[in-house]
This record gives sequence, C-alpha cells and structure tokens, in this order.
Amino acid sequence: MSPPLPPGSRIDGFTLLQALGTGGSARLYRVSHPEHGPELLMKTPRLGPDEPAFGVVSFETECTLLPALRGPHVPRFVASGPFSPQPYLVMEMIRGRDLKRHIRPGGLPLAELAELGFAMATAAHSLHRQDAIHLDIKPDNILLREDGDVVLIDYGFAHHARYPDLFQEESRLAVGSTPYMAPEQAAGVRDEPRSDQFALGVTLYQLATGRLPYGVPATLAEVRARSWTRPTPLRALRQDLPPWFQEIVFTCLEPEPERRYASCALVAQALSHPDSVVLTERATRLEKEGWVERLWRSWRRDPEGAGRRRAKPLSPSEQAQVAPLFLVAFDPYEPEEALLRALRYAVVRVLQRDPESRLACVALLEGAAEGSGTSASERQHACRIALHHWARQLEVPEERLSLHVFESVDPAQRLLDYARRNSVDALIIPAPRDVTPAFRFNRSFLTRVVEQAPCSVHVVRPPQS
Amino acid sequence: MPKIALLSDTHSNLEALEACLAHATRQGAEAFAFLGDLVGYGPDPAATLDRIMALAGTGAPVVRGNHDQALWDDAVPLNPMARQAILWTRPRLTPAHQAFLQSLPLTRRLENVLLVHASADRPGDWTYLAGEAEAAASLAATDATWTFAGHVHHQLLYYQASDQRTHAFSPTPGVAIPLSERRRWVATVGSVGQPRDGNTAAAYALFDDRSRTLTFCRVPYDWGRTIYKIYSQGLPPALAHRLSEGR
Repeated sequence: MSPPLPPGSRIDGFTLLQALGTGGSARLYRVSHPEHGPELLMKTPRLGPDEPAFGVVSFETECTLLPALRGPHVPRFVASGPFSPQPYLVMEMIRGRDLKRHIRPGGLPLAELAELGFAMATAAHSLHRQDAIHLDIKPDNILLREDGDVVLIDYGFAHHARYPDLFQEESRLAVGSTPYMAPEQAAGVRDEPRSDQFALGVTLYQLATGRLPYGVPATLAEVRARSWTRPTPLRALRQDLPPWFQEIVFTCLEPEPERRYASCALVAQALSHPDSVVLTERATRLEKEGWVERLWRSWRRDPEGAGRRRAKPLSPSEQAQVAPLFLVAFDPYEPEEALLRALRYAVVRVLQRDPESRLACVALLEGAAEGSGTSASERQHACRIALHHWARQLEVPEERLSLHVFESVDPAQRLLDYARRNSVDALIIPAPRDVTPAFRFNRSFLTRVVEQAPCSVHVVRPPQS
Repeated sequence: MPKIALLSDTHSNLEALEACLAHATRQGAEAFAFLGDLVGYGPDPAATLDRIMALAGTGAPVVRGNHDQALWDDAVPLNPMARQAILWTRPRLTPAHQAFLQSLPLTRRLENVLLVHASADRPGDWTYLAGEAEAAASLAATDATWTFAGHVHHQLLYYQASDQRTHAFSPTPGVAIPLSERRRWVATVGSVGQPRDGNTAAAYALFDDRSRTLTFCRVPYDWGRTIYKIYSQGLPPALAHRLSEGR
C-alpha cells in the first residue's frame, strides 16, 4: 500500500493538514481551502494492484451519489476530482460522536435507545425519500451531530434509483458489512429500501444488548441463514426492556422485507409513540428457539424467497411514500360545523387514497403552558375528548391514528417543529376567516405555516354559497 | 467539445425536431449532432432536411441511418410501411437533399465520443442495440469511451459494471448522469420523431463534456399538427396513429 500524502501537499487548491487514517477502501485527510472552508474531509481512493477491486467502484459510486443527496443526515458535498491524477472527494467534516462508542456489554438505557433509534430511522427515511438506499448501515457509519441528528456516512456501497448501479452480482460478497446485512441483500438485491431497516434493527439490537443478533458470519451462506434463524429475544437478555421495543426491533429484523415496516418513518413513529405499537407474537418471545423450531422454519422457507421480487419494484422514494403521515391541525371547539365537515371530507379523501397512510390529529391551544397548573392539564384533557370525538367519525383504525394537543404561545412554530421532526408528508389546516373566534388560525399563522412547512399544505375551506 | 444535443431518428417530423432544438437551446446546448434516420415515416422530409443541413453547415456532425440510405439503395431491408413512406419521400426531395444524404458517413468520431446510428459493431449492418449482448458487441468494436446511438427508438444506458459485464440502465428524464471515463458507455438516445415507449413526447439526450454527464430528455410537442399532415398528404394512416399513442 502506498504511503499517505505528506501534510502540506496541495490538490486542486485544497491543502492537506493531517492524514486521518484509512476508511474502508479510501484514505482520509483533514484539508482546508481558502473558499470552501478551513476544515474539511478529503477522501482519496486506494488505487493499485494490491488494493481491493471494489475500492475504485465504491469511490466512483460515492462521487456520483454524494452531490445528489441533501439534508442534515448526509455530509455536505464540497468538491470532487474523480479523474485528476490524484482522484479525490471533499465533504463537510462532521464534528460529532461516533455511534460505536455507545456499544457496551449491558446495553444502553431504554430512553437513549428509543432516541437513537428515532434519529437513525429519520436519517434513513430522509435518504429513501431522495431515492437512495445506504446498504451499509452499521455503527461505524453512523455519526451523531451535537444537536442529536444522525449523519449517515460512507456512500461507497449505496444505491440510487436515478443512477446506474456499478455494483453487480460478482462483487456482492464484498458489498456491505455482513453482520448487519439483510438476507435479500446477501442474495444480490440492491434496490430494496427496507434492507436499510434490517441493518437498523441489527444496530438497535446491538445497542440494546452489546451483542450482534446473528454474530459475525464468515460466509454468505451464513448470512442467508438469517432467513430462518431467529435471534435470541431481547427480553431474554434484558428483562427491563418493554415488549413494544422488542416488537419494533423484531419487525425490522423480519427476513422478508414485506413483513417489515413499510418505511423507516414508521419505525421512527413507533419509537417515539410506544403507545401506538400493536403488539404481536414478536413482542412476547422470551426464550431462544430450540433447534427443532429452527429446523422447521428452514424446511418451510421458500428457497428463492430472499431474492424474489415484485413484478415492478417500487423506487426508494415511492416505497417511502407507501405509508405517508398526514397531519390535520384545527380547533376542536370550532363553532362552524361546515368547516369541521369540510376538514373531515378532506381528511377522509386523503386517507382513502393511501390505505396505509397514518393521520396525526392535532388540537392547537394557544397560551402559556407554564404556571397554569391543574387548569392547564384539565384544559388539555377536555380538548383531547373533543378531538377524540371528531376523530371517531373518520372511522380510521386505531393504529393509523394518533391524537395530540399542542399548547404553546407560538402554535405555528410548534406545528412546524412537529412536522419537521416526524417527517410529515402533508399538513391539512383550515383557511383563515374574516371573523376568527380564536387567534390561532388567523392570517399570519397560515402564512407562516405555508411558507415554512417542510411539506405540502392543504388549506381547507367549506363551500361558499 | 461543448455541451452537445444528440438527436436521432427525426423521421421527417418537423414539429418534434423544432421542439427538441428549442428545448436543447434552453438547456444550454452549444452544439447539435444528428444520429441518422433524418427522414422516413413523417410528413416533412424537405423542411426537416433544410433545417438539419443548415446546422450541418455550421459544423453539426450528422451520420447516416438506414432510412436515409434506403432513399437510393433498395437493398436496405425495411418493413412494408417504412418502404411505403420512403417511396412517398423520394419525389419530395431535391437533388441537393439527395446529395447531402449520400455524403453522410456511417460514424463520426469526436475525441472520445463515437456517433453512430445503429451499432459500432459493423455499423452498415444496422444491428439493433436490443439488449446487453448487442451493446457489449458494440463496446468491443470501438475504443471510444462514450458511444451514442439511435435506431431502437428508446432511451437506455449500457455500461460496464464491477463484474466487467455490460448492464442496461433505464434512465429518468432530466437527471444528469455522471459517465465516468474509468469505464465505457453506450447510450441509445431515443427518437425525436417517432417515440415508441407509450409516451408521445419527443426524446433526445444532452452530453456535457465538461462535467462528463449525460441527461436524457423528453419534450412534448404538437403531434396533432404532425398527424394532420400525415392524414392529409397520403401517408399510411397507421403512421399518424402511432404518433398519437407513442407506439
């Protein structure tokens, strides 16, 4: 292997400050640039006859994908010179913690697990919404920004539906990290976004117990064996973990993608709203299964199952939209029945169009939550009853519905924060009227929500006679 | 080499050609290249050729397609409807048009780019790049990094992946795809004048030599006007019908 470039070297205007070691098939350097910034990360591929062949392909893949990806969960792309004598890729230097440090023998406390899981699922969902799949999610590739956001790094094995995939069958042995790899990925499938959800489940299992659910497989056949091998139940290793947490992790670890959550947004939603998790047999497993059961499942399995595909696979962004989250925000004490009816029609229409969609019903209460004591909680309780009454008429199954009361001096900001944090796909709000009984749905509220919402906003008005 | 618009299988469809030229200009195209089959099927052979010959006069590269050659060479195999359209076209061209078509080469090489109508592998045999095997044969026949072709009327990108085999990729219109010069590529750019993938919009592609990216484009045009001309000028009505369906 050739030695790293010495500090002070210059590549296309970037000055090398420090060699940071190697990452996968690349060398890493801390670099600076007079215009781009004083502290950036440069990757250079390790080229040469002794280096792994997939190194160049990984580098090309990352050079193609990184400039196309946006948002806080991806390192910001700065520059690349894929063809110059010294090929390089420069990106934002993430100042943050490494998730590997959170792996410890006894596992993390539940609150921390739920928070990390939420942040990881939100990051993966953001990627899927952009038509990309990471395909190598593991603690080494997860960084935590100071504000708690997760950044997924290293896109060398990633897939993007809008670019040619340079990785094809023969190289799949080397593609992805086997302890975290979904069975379908081991079978060569590279366009299934729910493979990331499986890797996320493995990571959560490891964070909860300090152990890998399937160990470290040495061969691809061992990776395929996870199609019929069930990991030791989390609650057998840690009695303090609740059934809902095991339900979520084991849903992510389902061997067939169709049996996992439809999107990572649903994983995030489940982790942040444990009350809404519907418990199944997965939650109640307490003992490691015996060899008879394992043998039974290995017989019953469909040998082609892991590689079998739908007639026309959905793109990652389409799959991410299969179970959209809609949010309707209004005043449950609204006196105008016509407006409530119009809102209900609007909500029913969108829910019918997407049978797997979910709805968050939000009652907005204006005012200071502080200092009001009992009266505040009673006000919220009464509001929740009114909200529940309105939502009942939608006839939506419980698992698709969540009810919230937001009381804030700045209801618009509260609503926008919630929409951003929970990857809401569309907001449904009432139109302002000339005579508004409450301050909260006036013009300035509407203007702010429409201008700053991270998604589409549907403004509902009853038919004007 | 500047940003170049790659237009193939215009097939005497003036409305589609004008729409693509205008679209490409808006997208910043600085040059145009024509990948053959300038005529055949459509109702405006003379006007289409006038437009392309004017661009060729300013340096636009043009290569020959099988329909172009069929104007003077009856040995070119064509289906009966295509033959009928060629017979209809012949008397409507001037000697200058005929001379221009006969002067066209089968391939043009611009640095690392090869322009060809059908395949780099025996271009005069008009082999369709119908799949990965044909694309691999085309790759083997040239050392050009990028080969741009038409003839098949659909947009596809073939490339050599990590297993050294040739794979097909179905592009999304409007996405600039980086085509690394570490590997070799063959693109079929689609048909300007007779799209056949169920979408009536005209198809072409834009290659940017500076960023090494290829963007496949789809452009809506007034096919109602084109099919009116087909019906009223005595061409087979099926040729009009297929434009209205993009089949």
